[in-house]
Amino acid sequence: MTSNTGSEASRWLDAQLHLLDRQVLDVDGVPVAVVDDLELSEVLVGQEIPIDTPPPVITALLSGPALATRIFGGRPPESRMQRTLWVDIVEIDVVIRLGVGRDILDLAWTEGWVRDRIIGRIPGGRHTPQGEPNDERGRS
Amino acid sequence: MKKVLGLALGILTAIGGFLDIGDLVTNAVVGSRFGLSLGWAVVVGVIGICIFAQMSGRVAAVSGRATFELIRERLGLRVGVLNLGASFMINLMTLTAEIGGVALALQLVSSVSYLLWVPFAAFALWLVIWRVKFSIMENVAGLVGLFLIGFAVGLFLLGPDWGELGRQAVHGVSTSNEKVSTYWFYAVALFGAAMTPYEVFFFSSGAVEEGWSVKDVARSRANVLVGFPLGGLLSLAIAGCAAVVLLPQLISVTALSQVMLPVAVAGGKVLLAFIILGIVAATAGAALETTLSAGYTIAQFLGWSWGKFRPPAQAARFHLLMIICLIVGVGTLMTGVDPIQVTEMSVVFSALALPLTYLPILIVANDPEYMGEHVNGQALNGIALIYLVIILAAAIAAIPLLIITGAGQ
Amino acid sequence: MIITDLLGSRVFGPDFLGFVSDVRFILESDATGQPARLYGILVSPHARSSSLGFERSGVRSPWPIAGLVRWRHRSSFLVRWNDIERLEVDRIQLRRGFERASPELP
Repeated sequence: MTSNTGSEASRWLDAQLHLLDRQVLDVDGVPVAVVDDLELSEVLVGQEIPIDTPPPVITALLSGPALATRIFGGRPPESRMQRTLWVDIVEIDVVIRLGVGRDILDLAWTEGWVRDRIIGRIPGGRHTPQGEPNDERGRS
Repeated sequence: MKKVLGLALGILTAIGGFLDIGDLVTNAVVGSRFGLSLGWAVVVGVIGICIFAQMSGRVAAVSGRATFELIRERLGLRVGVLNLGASFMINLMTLTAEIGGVALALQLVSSVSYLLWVPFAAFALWLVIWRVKFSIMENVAGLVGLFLIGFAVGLFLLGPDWGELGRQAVHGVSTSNEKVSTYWFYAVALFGAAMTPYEVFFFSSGAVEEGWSVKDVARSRANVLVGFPLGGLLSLAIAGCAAVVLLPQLISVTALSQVMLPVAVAGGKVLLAFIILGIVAATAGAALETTLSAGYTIAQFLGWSWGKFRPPAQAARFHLLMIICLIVGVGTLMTGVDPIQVTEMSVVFSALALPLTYLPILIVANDPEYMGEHVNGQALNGIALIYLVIILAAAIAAIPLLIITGAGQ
Repeated sequence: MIITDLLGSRVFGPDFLGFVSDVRFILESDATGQPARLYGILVSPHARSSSLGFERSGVRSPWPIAGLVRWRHRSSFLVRWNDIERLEVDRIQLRRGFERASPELP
């Protein structure tokens, strides 16, 4: 896939085109979340921004119960959104790949809960469908 | 043999898509009332799904992205949610009907009441989703579903007047006292049946399940070009059988047993048994396809881990969702609702949801960021755009026709 | 601050100019862990949001859709970070003499 490198050096990312609503995969290629929002570093709000103030950077990807708020407006409280640190990202392509495993991420807690409480308890739940060794495909 | 098995995904998608319980009956109904004069609608639909599935299979192979994942990424959240709502409702309605269809087919071969088969069928379907490898599932359901070829065999055995059938296809049925609006209602229904969105969700997700990559683009095309036309031919064969046996006697089709009447006339018990196996496999295939589609659409939209290639514990919410869908399906059927009527309704709603599903695929198939050098060629874009217009027309016409004709009365 | 605070905000020079249809970031290089700095905002005079991006990417297929989207986002422009004077809830004020740059992705 072509990435949009302008020159050898820099790369451009538009929030809606390349980051928002993109699938996030952990280091094993397992989907963990979709990007609902981007967290930016501190920025002066409501006051005049002095010239030469450095621009904010993206500090984290945010995922959470934001469907209704993104459609109708408003935002969920910070505590309900899960953060994926920008520094944990390894690759940004048609999906966003992380360098960390899902077990250490908060993102995966509902998945973990359903796995432990429900699916994991049904016989056969922890095995791949018969006939094939566990095939960890690298894409979602 | 391996090459034939490699086409199983396309065949199963087609059979589950337009030879499920509702379509079996609709094709027979159409044949018994309109002869082969609506054959063109099937052809238009088959070409359409070939284009749609071809693009979507290629996108899945090259970029690794299944269709529903793209809907949210490219069209944004609002449109995506709308699409999700419509698609999920259709999936749920159809899977309910298909469980019913499996139970109806099983009732035909045993004397056990249909309602008793329903929970059994749902449980069996769940077991397949839970434990059976994707490729085994598609090979068995797809190839046994091909037993529906018995309808084509039956059509030959009936020794019909081919000229008359051909005339019907081109000029319409002269003795018909059907209204024009009813004719067009069934045209939209047949088109919608061939181009149901869940076929594409299943086909593209199946491509990811199978691990198709750039080198499988040709294989994807083969699946499409074999599977869907085959499904279309079988649809026409069913309508043809009904046209030959039921139309002259003005027998109307309301139940599954009447669908099989022409075959019984043509080939006796042996052919009938063959067909029934085909019907069980086709409805089971459709039930699997729609249940998995329900899981795929929600999981892909919300970013959950999904896929039969993973152990259920690694795609926990995906599996839980499908279990809930199956339970809801069984519950609905136990209230006595007629599964055949449910699919006939859902086909029309599919025609409504189709544009929102088709558009993102058309866009992504042209996007070099996803496709690299495998973007659509000019010719494909040309036909694809013509079909966009047809799809929009069908979507606009669907509900008014449904109301005016009272669902084809 | 989160990005959805910025998206869809109204943008003012002296007068109303449009809405923030997207926000552009730049990575210094393709190496892992590079910070993504806010490069500028994309202002579209007629539409609140742009998720297909035909007006920026130079992709022209399929032509009716690309054409429609480009028309909807006609006269869109990019404003660099330095030209932003003030950020408020749903309102962005640009500095006097701000520069309009092309929205196309390089």
